Amino acid sequence: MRNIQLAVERVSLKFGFTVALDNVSFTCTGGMVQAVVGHNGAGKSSLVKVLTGQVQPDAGAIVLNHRALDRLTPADAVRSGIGVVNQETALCPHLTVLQSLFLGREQRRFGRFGLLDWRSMARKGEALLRELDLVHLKGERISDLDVMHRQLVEVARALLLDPDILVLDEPNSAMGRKEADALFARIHGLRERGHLILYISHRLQEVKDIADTILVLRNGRVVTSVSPDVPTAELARLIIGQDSVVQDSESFKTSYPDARLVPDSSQQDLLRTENWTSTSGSFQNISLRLRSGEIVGITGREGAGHRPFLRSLFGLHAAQGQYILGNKGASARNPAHFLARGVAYLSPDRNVESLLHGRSVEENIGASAGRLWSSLGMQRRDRLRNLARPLIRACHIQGVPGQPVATLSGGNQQKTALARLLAVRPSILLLEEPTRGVDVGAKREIYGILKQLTTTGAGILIASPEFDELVAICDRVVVMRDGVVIGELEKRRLTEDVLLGLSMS
Amino acid sequence: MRGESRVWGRVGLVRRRTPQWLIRIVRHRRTGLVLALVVVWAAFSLKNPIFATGGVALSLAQTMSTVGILGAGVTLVLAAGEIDLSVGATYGLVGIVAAKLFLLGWSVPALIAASLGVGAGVGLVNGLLSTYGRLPSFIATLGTLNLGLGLASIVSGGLALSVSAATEPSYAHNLEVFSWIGGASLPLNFPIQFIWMSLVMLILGVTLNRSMLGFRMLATGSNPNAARVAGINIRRTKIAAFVLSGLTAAIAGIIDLSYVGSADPTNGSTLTFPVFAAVVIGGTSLTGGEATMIGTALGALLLAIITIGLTVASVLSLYQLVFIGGITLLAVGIDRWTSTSRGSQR
Repeated sequence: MRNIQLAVERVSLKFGFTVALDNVSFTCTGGMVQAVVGHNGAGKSSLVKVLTGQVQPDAGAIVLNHRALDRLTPADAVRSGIGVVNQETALCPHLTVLQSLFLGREQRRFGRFGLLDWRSMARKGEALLRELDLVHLKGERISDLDVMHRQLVEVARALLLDPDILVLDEPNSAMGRKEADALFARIHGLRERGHLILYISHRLQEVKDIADTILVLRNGRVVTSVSPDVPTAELARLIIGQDSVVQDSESFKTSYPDARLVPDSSQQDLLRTENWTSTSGSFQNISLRLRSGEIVGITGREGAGHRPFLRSLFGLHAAQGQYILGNKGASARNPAHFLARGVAYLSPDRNVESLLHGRSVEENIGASAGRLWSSLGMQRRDRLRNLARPLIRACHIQGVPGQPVATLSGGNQQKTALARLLAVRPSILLLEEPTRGVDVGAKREIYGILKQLTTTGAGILIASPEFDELVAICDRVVVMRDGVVIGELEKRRLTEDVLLGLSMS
Repeated sequence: MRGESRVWGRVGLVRRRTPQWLIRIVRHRRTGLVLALVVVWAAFSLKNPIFATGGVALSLAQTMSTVGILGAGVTLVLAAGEIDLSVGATYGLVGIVAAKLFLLGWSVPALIAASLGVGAGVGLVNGLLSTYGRLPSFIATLGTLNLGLGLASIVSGGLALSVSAATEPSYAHNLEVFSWIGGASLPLNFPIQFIWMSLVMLILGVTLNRSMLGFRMLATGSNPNAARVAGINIRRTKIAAFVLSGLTAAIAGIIDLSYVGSADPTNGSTLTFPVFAAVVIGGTSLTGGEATMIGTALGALLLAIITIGLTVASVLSLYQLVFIGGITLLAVGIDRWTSTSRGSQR
């Protein structure tokens, strides 16, 4: 058994004028899973960065086995036995999976400056990949992997050095159920052997299942530490705090008044595909209709074809067959065409395809709606601000219009990305994982926004691996496997278990 | 305008011990550059007081103009996340083409239109190659750089073409009109190039910061994938940036031909470095999405101060490149080292 004692003592961290951590203290020991929860901007990721040497705290200390870790760098952290899986994957795209495992900790022959010992690395790496059921990927380049597999590679990287303390910052945000379960089994195994696991997540049910104690952060402070027996609702309340504003439909209506109103909203077909088949073969013969006022989920295991299908409806994935928008066919290959016809698409990875990082919140919100804030080819900043303000309010984005979007917390960035879609007043929303990496409060706000949109006649198609989310907000869910639709569930038959059974069977 | 760094705090957590205006000045993107300008200028003035006179100021204004005009176009291309190495060659090629057309007896408006067309054409080729042609713009414009220099040699037969030496009387009127462009005598000997540069920078600065095209360029440079998904035609945007860059190179080529009176086919070959130095010293990011026209103007001014300062301080021209290179590294380095705090996020 390992004897591990970790104490975080009065740690504070400031970025400019933003207090990320304020006097945070807690202790934990080996053989336990310590969960850390909190909404976006609560300080979870900052805590991870302090613990793993990615930033230096302004005050306080990290004490490992009664020894203070001063001026910790990422390399020191690794040497002290602290491994980390960060929220956002950070891998070099051109390296293979095997090379990635050993990046920065390559094994050498003939001493420190010797040649790389690929044979030994391959042996060790393959053994680990085999254990994780990833050995078939060992020669793949990172750039050819999807987000889920990149996360799995990050997990493997962290496990490679057999760290005493494993810090997991939302390690499974892009994983399917099967992969996540395998990860949890792994975490349990580590705990049995006396490792300490710090587990950061938004998913409360998951945290309750896996953790021994749960630390709740809010606005950079420790609110409390609770046992996993606490009811989910109580935990959610602790995370959000009493004073938080909950989305209500009235405020949405007043702040987003001219949303498109479609008469007789229940029957009209907004979008229809017949025999819609991917050119690259990722899906075949999909026939699907989306009616006005509907939220339709589309799900499946990774690789089932639901993601490329959604992208094909926005011209981002080549496909052929029949695709009818309103009552006219659609075939163009560029997003601008679809935006002009009232179709808006949200990418699952906000860093890759959603946000203009260096630009301001309002510029991000207005990026798709240039027509609405220009005249004679010139920007009309006053109009942009008038466009952005109500959306910032409606989406509860905690930020001001001129603020650089990169300074927002993850949840607020996601809401900004969603606000960009709302700015074009779409009648059809294609959303891939709209709440990925978003906290409970922001999640609820996003659901509220989506529900509101449907009352104005919009139709929404959501691809998500989170069954609880689909069950909560969808009117029906289409399940895909191996590129074809294998079933469709109406609201009354919709449960997580049925979805799980259908997608796995 | 892009590049102003303001201080953002979560409501309630902003502490107001230091006055906001002071913080703003200290953290302002261009404070370091302006300081560097003042220090370098003061140093040269102390070494030789003649440097602090109006006459030197006027030659500074003139010297910075070529680099400033070319830099303005390059700033747009970098904003859109691409790179244009060919501006110097385009500048040289246009000089030769304009001189050739002049010697063929073309009227001034016609030869200007044709020369601008050549510049825009090179820009269009650059744009098409780096978008539809899928070549990295570094390679595409490296190619057109050499094509441009080569074409200039072919058109001129490898020799300098002199406009002012044209002796036939029928050219006299044309020459008078054409020399006005870059050589008009203004009150106080004010260099007309500087006025042209100011105009170009003003127009392209407005394009960058106030037009939708400018927004699309910055959005494309900031994150091309996101810009595409947001419905921005990133190819057309990039092509527009390249065309504008080619046009500004042509403008500079015409002005300098008019001023000097002759064009040499190798004219543009040494301009690439000072132009990029000026733009990057100014604070425009080489990775796109961040660009400042005022910064480019200040960068061009700094280079002009160094060039003229070294001459006035009688540093042998043998040593000048070493100074220019070193000071460029220092200026960009200071900017990057002092700006690390701005990049940090939660």
